[in-house]
Amino acid sequence: MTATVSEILQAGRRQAGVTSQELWIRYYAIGGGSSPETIDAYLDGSVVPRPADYDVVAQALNDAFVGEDADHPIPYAEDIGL
Amino acid sequence: MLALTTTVKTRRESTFVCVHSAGTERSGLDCRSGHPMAPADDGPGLALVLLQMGGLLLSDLTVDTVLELATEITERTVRSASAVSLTLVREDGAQTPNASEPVARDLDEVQYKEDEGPCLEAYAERAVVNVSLADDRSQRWPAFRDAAEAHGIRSILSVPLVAGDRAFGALNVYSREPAAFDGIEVATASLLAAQAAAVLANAVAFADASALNAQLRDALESRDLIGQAKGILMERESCDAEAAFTILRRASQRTNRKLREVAAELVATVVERPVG
Repeated sequence: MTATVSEILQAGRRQAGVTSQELWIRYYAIGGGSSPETIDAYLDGSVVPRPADYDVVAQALNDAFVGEDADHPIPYAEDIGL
Repeated sequence: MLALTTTVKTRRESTFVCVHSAGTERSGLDCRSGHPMAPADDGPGLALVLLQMGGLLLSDLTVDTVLELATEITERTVRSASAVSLTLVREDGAQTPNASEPVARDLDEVQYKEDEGPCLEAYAERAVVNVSLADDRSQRWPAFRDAAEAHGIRSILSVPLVAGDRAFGALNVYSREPAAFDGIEVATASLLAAQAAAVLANAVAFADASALNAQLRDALESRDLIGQAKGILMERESCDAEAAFTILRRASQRTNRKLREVAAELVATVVERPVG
C-alpha cells in the first residue's frame, strides 16, 4: 500500500472535518471499544490498529460522508491489505 | 445561588441593570467619583460589583447582563471615557454586543469593515492599545482615524478580553480628550475586561460541556442500537461480533447509508415480527 494507515485516517479525518475527539465519539457510537487515546495513537501512527478495529474507525469516518457526494471514500482493512 | 435582576436609576438618569444577591441592600453603582477599588459614596461600589460578576450563574441571560454591566461600569469608572463598547470576535467575525453611545458602535464597525483598528489590534495582539490619535505618528488605521476625527474622538483605549489561553475580543474606551488615559484608567479598564473575559470563558466551557453531553447521549443510543443489530446477526449467522459488524458495514457501503440506519432497519424487522 502507498499510504500508511495513519495517513489514511488523518486525511479522512480532515476531509470529514471532524476533530479527533469527535471521531472517537462517532467510533464509540457505532460500537468501537478503544479509548480516545488509542484513536489518537492510530491517527499519529504510534499504534497500528487491528484490522477489525481499523474497520470501525474507517466506518465512523465513512458515515460522516454519507449524504455528501463521496460514497464511502475511506478504504477498509481488506482494501488496503491490513 | 439566588440572583435578582433590578433596574436602578443612577444619578445620570439612565437605566442600569444590576445583578445582586437576594438580601443585598440597594446597590450603589455610581462609581464615577471614586477610584476603582475605593468605596463609592452611596453603596458598596465597584469592588462588590466585581465580586458579583465573578459569582454569577451562567446562563445566556447572565452573560449578556455581565457584558452590559462591564460596558456600563467602564463608562462610569474610567473618568475620561466619552463612550465605551465591547468587541466580541467569533468565527463569523467581530461584533459589538454593547455600546454605551452610538459613536462607539460606529467606530467599532468602521474597524470591522476595514479589518483593522485599535480594538482588533488589542484582540489580535492580546495587548492593551492606548493611543492619542494626535500624538500617534504612525500611518496605521487611516479609515478609523478619519471616522474618529469626524466624531471628535481623540483618544482610544482598547483592552483585550483574555482568559487563560483564549482571547474573546476587546473592551474599548473612546474619549474626546487628547492623551486621555492614564495608568489608573488603564488598570481599571483591564480589571473590568478580565472579569468580563472570565465570565465569557466560563460560558464557553459550559456550552462546550453541554454540547459534549448531548453528543455522548446520542452516541450511547446509537451504540445500543448497533449492539442489538450485531446480536441479531450473531444469532442468525452463527458468527462473532466482529463478523456481525462486517455484515453491517458492507450493507452500509452497498446502500450508501449510515451504519446506524442499516442497524435500525434490521432491528425494526425483528421487532415487527414477534416470535410465535
